[in-house]
Amino acid sequence: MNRRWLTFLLFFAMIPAVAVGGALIFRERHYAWISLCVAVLTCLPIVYDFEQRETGSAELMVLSVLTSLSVAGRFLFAWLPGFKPVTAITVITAIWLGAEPGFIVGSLTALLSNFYFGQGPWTPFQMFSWGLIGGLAGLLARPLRKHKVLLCLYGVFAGVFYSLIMDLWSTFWMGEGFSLARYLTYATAAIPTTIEYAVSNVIFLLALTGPIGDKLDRIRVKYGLFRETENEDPAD
Amino acid sequence: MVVRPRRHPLVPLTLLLSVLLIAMFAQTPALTLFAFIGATLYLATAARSVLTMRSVIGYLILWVLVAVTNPLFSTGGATPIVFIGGRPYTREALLYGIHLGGMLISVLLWFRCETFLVAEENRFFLFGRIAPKSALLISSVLRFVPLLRRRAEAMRGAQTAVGVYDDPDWLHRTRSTMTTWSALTTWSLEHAIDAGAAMKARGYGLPGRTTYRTCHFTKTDAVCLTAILALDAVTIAALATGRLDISYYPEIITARAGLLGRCGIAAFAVLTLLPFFSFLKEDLRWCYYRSKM
Amino acid sequence: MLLSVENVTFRYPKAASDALRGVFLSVSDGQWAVLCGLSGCGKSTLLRLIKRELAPFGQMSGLILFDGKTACKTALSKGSGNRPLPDSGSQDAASEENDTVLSDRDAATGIGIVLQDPESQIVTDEVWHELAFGLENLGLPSDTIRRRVAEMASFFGIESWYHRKTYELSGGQKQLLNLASALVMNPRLLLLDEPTAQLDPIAATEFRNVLTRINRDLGVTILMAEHRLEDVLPLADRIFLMDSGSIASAGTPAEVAQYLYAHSHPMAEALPAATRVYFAITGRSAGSGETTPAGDTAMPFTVRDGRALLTKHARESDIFRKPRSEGAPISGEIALEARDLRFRYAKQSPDVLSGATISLHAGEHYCLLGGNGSGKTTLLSLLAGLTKPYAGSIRLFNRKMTSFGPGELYRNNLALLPQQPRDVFVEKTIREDLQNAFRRMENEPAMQQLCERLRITDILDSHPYDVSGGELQKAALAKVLASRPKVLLLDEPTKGIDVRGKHELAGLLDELREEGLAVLSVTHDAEWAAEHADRCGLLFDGEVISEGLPGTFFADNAFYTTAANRMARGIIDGAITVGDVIDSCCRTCDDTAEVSL
Repeated sequence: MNRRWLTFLLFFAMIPAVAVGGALIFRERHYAWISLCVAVLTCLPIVYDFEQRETGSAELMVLSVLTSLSVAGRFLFAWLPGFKPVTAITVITAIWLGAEPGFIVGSLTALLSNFYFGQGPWTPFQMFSWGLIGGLAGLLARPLRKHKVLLCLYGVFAGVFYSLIMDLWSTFWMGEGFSLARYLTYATAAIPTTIEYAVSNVIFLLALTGPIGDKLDRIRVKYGLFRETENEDPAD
Repeated sequence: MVVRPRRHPLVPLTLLLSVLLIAMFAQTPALTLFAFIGATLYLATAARSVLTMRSVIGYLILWVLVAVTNPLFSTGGATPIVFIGGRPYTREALLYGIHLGGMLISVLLWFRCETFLVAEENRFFLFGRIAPKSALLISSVLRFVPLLRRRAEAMRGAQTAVGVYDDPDWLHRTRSTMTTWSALTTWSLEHAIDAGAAMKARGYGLPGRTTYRTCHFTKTDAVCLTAILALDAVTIAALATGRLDISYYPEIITARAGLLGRCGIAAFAVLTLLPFFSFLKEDLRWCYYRSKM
Repeated sequence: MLLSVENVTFRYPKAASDALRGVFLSVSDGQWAVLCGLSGCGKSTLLRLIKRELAPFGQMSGLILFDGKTACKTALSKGSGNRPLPDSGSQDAASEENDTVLSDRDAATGIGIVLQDPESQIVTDEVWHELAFGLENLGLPSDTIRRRVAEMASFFGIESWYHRKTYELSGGQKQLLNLASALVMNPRLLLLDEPTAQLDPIAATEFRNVLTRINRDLGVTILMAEHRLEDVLPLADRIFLMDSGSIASAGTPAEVAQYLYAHSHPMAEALPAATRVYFAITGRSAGSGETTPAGDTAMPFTVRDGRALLTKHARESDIFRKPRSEGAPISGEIALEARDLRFRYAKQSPDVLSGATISLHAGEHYCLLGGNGSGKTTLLSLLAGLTKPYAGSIRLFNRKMTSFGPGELYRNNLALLPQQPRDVFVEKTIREDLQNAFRRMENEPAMQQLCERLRITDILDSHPYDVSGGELQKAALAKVLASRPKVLLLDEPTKGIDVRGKHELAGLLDELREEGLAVLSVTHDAEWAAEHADRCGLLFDGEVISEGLPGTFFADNAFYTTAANRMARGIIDGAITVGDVIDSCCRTCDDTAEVSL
């Protein structure tokens, strides 16, 4: 346990150290550098913790399948750009299986789907934002599962959050330094997309939470998976 | 068939990472230029399929877009070309935009090089050493995705034939896709259980799991790696001491590069051209062997 | 004894009855044992209990010993869950138990398992990694892994696809990979759960050949669950017959075959053609009730031995060489007609179909046969209107298929039963799914009646994944029939279905055909086609060639035909089913013959 905390501390000391060090070398582009460091380095402790934890084979495969579904979802709905089930699956995973699986599914989806849709400097940012959406949903699991309204609100929030982070990326990478005017311009230009994200998140959450939740419950009962999370949730 | 250098994956990955990081964050046009040239030469010789007309045009549009829009937001320059809405559209900001666009393009091109520099099966090799569980997860996702796409196709067919996709209306179509998707979810979760059982049956979960290494780190690899790191060190030293600094506003001022600065640029040039040279070497060697056959 | 199962009883949670009842079974080192029985008799449950990592949830009593050590503990409610087996008691107890309880490591390496679905057992995305996976779990060093993987790859001849992606492989290759990945762990016992059920005949034969080598050359003990005995009976040393959860008979193949025949067990129809003919010939002279048939020849299991038996029989008594009585071809209204269909997946790729022409009459059952990759499934999806040909025309009741509007084609006209019946289900229970389908087709009143007719009323409240393959297929049939189709297309309807299921399906199709339904099955199953088709065709090189009545179709084929036909060729011309052969043999000896086999 102590070792675990020590590692965490190390990570948290590392983020500013690497960021500042890089900023000193890369001067003018320090915004881009620091943001990249934050995006990459927040993923590290979570991956580390995941590695240290015991995960049963079936649990691992369930995570794998959920990630694949969310990657495949980007293909299946390719005819409707912007309309993707990624956020919904990440959130559902997080609500049912916990914050860490949620983060892992979200960020892995970003990393792996980009092997099909194109890798670029945006990958760490997508990993970061989808991961965070999942992680946060995991922490809010109880209320999100209880109230449909909150779930929808979270869907809207996730859409906006994702969009704002990606606008931040555009600001840092397609321009110099940080200019609020530029950021606002990008964010304004992205309003239609943001609305689409938010709407599609709500639709997918409403449509998928029930079915996927039922199915996760079904395999949990039938095969006794994820039993450590069982006492946390009263049957509802 | 793409000829891949037969190096330990650590070598191309280090090369890739250092070129990407320096190209992304260095502020020097000379470095950006070399990053661009290196990637283009490599792609044009080793992976012609990437540089299709469409992708080249796409890259050019992105470049122009970044270059042209930059002065709209940055008014720092001292030499206005034109005034737009009372705000100066300056030469310096435009030049900076051109540099920025070039940087973005070369970074994207280097991302494309990755596919050819690192064999697919080695892509997560290092990851497998550091984070074996995540690597296993990734490996199984990479298997599942094509499988799910095929299953989705079959299920869409089955659902169509029972009249689910009856209506071409988009709302109906979305609902139908959701139906297919839901069936796919059931199938895949069930499949996950079976796959998990198969893993357990083959001893997954026993203590002391190892990772099978397919690659050996040879002496040549060590030499290559040291060379790459040394080149990195020179360039970073030049960057850190400010020899390669350039300041655009209010007027473009470049720092005196000096010997270190020039060495830094040369080192980076060698670094970016390494993939191209190694491809040429392999190509020539092969031609040579074939001529003797 | 390498494996002994002693008085094992098992019950699934919430189940009304025991899945296994006092099972005794033992397999000695180096044997090839087959566990046979109809679907749902408990074969898979038993195999999964023996391989304890796969042991299902539930209550078990009895003892399973592997190599003299307890492989699965008595009265342990344990699942494939997370806890390791030797329940951590005190340290002393643990060390005391060490000698008698199989360790996790020995359980993983000692017993290998290959299941029915080739797809679901693969873990990683590359062939080499899949082979190395088990050895990685054992914690072996890379050099050892390299050597053992190399050995296994060359033993199985998979060097040529060693660097391929696992998802690019064919079904047969996937199953071979599963076998190789199990074998690379050096198991002493190999468990196989209907390993060839999802493979085409050629891949299945190849798989069995490899198994033979593993058994003969490497001395690995095999315990295989199977409901089709045609091909495994000649290979097996010992057969266990399971019947509703207990072992009904055990012994040599001849002994168990004798038992099946004497008790008129449904599995008797799954016996090899030669054996069934043998019983028909010798059984009658011995009279009923006796346990051993009179006859000086050994019981034949293969086509070769069957031919010898028939030749001998023909020499001794005159065989009635009657041509198969075949009715006139059905010449009703043409329901579905496709002319000169051409199809390819991409502009540059070769034609999958190059001028396929086929017609289907109302009330007819047409069986389309063809090798793997001959384009059978593609043709079916063209005929179902799911994909479009780039040339050629399809007419449904003399009306162009393209002229059917949305929502018209799949109502009252055409239905498709896919290869995986579960693909049509989306809801939590079969009932909900059927209700939705019948409501969509405005055919709700017919549901109850159809379910009764298909005998699926008692599974309506189950989850589609919790019922057996045969039951699910019937439920899927109910769902596709909701639209009152006039043409029914079936993709590999007999895949993974046991004898009883096959008969039931054929019976149902016959009933529906009486009412004018036209049925087109695409299948590998020559036996089934010979028995139940009105007309057969062979798809080869993108075209339908050699179309004809089953009698002529199979009699003209030398390889792509039934075992009975291969056995009787040149002795009884025109006999294509076991029934035909028995018929003509027995006409000679006794005219009152009413043979039920």
